[in-house]
Amino acid sequence: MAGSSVEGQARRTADVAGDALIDVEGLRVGFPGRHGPTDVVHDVGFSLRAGECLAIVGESGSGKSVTARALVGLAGRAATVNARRLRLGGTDLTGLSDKEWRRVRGGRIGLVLQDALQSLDPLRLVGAEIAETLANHRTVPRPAIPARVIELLEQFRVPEPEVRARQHPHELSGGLRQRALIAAAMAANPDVLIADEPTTALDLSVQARILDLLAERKADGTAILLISHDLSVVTRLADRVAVMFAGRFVEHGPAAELLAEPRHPYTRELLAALPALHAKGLRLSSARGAGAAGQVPGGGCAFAARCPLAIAACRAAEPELAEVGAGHSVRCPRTAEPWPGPTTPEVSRRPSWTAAPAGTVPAGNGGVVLAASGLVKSFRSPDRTTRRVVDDVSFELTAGETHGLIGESGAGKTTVAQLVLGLLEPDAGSVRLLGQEWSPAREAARRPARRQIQLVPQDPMAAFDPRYPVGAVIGEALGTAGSRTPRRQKAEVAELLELVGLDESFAARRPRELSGGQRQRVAIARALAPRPAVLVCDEPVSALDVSVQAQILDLFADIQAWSGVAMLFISHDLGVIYHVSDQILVMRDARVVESGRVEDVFARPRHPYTRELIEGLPRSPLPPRAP
Amino acid sequence: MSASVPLAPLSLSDRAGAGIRAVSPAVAVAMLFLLLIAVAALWPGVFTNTSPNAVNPLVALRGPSAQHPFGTDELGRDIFSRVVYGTRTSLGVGLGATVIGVVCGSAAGIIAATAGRAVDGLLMRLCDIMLAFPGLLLALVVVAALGPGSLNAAIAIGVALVPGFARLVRAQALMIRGSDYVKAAVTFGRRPVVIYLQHVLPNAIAPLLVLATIGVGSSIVAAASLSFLGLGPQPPSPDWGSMLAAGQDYLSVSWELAVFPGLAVTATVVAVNVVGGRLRRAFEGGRGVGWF
Repeated sequence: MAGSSVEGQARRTADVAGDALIDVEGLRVGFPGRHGPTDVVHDVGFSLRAGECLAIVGESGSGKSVTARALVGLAGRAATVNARRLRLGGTDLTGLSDKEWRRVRGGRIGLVLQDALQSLDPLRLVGAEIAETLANHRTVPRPAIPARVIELLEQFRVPEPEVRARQHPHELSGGLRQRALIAAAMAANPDVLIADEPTTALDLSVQARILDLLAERKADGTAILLISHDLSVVTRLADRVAVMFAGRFVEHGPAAELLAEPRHPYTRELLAALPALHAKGLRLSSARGAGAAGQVPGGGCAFAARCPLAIAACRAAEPELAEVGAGHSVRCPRTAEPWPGPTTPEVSRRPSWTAAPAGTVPAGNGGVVLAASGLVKSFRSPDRTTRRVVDDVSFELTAGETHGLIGESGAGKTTVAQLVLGLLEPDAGSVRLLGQEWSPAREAARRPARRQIQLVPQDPMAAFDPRYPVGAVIGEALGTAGSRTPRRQKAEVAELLELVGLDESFAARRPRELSGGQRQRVAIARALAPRPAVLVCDEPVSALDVSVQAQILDLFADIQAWSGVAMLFISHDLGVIYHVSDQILVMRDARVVESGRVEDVFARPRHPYTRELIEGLPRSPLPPRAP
Repeated sequence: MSASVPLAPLSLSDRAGAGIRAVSPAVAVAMLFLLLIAVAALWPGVFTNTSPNAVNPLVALRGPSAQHPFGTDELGRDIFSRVVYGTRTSLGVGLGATVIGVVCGSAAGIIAATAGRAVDGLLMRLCDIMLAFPGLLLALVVVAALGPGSLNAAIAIGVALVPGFARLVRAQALMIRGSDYVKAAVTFGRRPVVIYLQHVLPNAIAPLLVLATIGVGSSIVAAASLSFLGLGPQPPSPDWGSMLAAGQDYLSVSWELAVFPGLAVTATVVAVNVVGGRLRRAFEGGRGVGWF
């Protein structure tokens, strides 16, 4: 099957209608906007054959999910869907009635969404969910349904299928839920499976197993349309990749070729932004990457605003999709131009302070600013059993260095962060901050030193008082109101905003008006406001798009370079951890199973779990570049 | 994403902004009506020159006319004037009761959330007991103890509102206390008192204020009910509830007596609810967190 895709991808012309399962040409989806209807998907075309996987990649808001939904008639009531051709194995999908759509959905196209908990009815048993698909499409005779449900769960590697079928979705783990959802989507044996971010909320090892499952379906001849923002997921499954930007396919071609030799500037930027083994110590974001996607008024290329290769012609008219190789087309005339190479971080801004100035760090202990030793913390579960969430965790943070803490959800990472921050008292063990007792300690005694250790949260919106504009959010962290004049406070807020790459006009804006990346910048500015010696970053980039993530990671590198702040950086993403860390701590089931210098651990992982993690890391499709 | 990619659902701010700016005709009419009601409560003389208590038996129980737009009652008093002058007491009792309920309820709720498990248990059980009685029955008991009158009616209705508001504020305060922004304030070295005053209290009470607006409507009905039973403001002071009660006896002879005060109550409550509902929607759009 995989072999036939090579020739299949070369032909996107009219005659493929016969052997393509899905054949789309000139797809447009529009939504009514404030200034009249706007095209969210713009002239998209592709075909998909049995046993083939096409991945659509793009940042949030690029239109990839809407494209997928349009194929099952679920683009939304307000949406207007137009296509020159929209066919499913010989059936014309344009102008289907609701009844006909229902036969297509589940029967011929299965849909798997990101959040299995939201896609499954919380009040229904898992088995009933799968049985519904079977009954709706009369796949098997009614009396045979229960047996078939068990069979399906078994087929999709759900352990103890009889038990699971009688459980509610919330009783299953995220990975099992996703498997049950795929089983439900595949119950009626559809020819095509659309998977919209199927692994995004899952842990790395669970992710790998779900992808294996999808790969098996593919090998059985199911055509898979994979929607993802994560290139590492894409590389494992896709035969072809389409890169979407501002509602358009900007590049579309064979996966291996496209990832190894990206042609469109956006694809190049995306791949460069990926924290991978070769990019350590280099900047991830391009110098002009800070700008958002902007619609060029004259109808030019949407990427021109942040494209380092853009010329006047790009802004004047939108380039057409043009073939650059076999089945490889790009919407850019400047694919032959050399891409500006990655730069090393340069310390451009020298602020008026450094973390842990001379004298505060006790001399003679190698610059250790925070020492955690033998931390233990247990929580009581609702069923009255105690569970150790942190067990005998010790580490030392050094000024100017970053400790990466990696582990799956539930491994105890966030609890470690809270213990270190003094938001939780350890059951045993202690934390010393700048040579002083820090935890356990009386809150009143700890309060004066609080400013020395600050948190950068995963979800800035939840960590900002909902009534506060940005200026007040940062101002609060500067210190007690009244200790400085309003003018001085305003100046300091402006200075902090500038440090994180925002101008002072942001002070008056509301956090909810900002993009995810801007909010995270505000959160970082706030964490820097008390001039801490230690920054605890709890999954600070896990909710961000790759290119925004690259900018934030570069910002962290800058901050550390000029302030010498020590960082504890928590993430579940090994690529991110590798990129930012000097030292690494691998946590599993409440314990640190491996620690050491990041290069050593990556070169010679000793613990089986670390080895599994590192083997799961996608091999970079890019050749290593010289710094 | 930016404006070029309108795929992402409109951000919260967009919805909130649109919600505050766009006012439907129904809401506009309701707001205008409430404005008139407020003027009538403050300066009843603006609407009528006739005294609400001027008795003229010669014109008793007359239908609406140019001189008496709403007709006259059994003593020949001008019903329009009495409805206008009655606004102050009816609205006053409704608003006063809500203020009492909000202030005492938030205080009790915040204390329950902060003062430790014993106090919390005591206050919440007390609320449970009070909530076990229908609100109006509770108000009747309080009025029976304090005696009739406008102020006592307001206190009675307000007391009946306290447990509901207290529970709400307590739940909000507990939720906010565990929120990330309170944790952040802790890491800045803020004292608990400052955190409660700066973050917990304002955020816990903000949603309550919207709810209280809607509560004013039911308080006005409760106030009218109490005075219908003769437990509110005492005659001869004009009041919608007591006018309804008096009109009841003449319903077969003269419909104006009961219908106009009844309409006044209904229209006011509907207007308050329409405006309150609009406020609530604007508020919900404004922040995606919280209970409402």
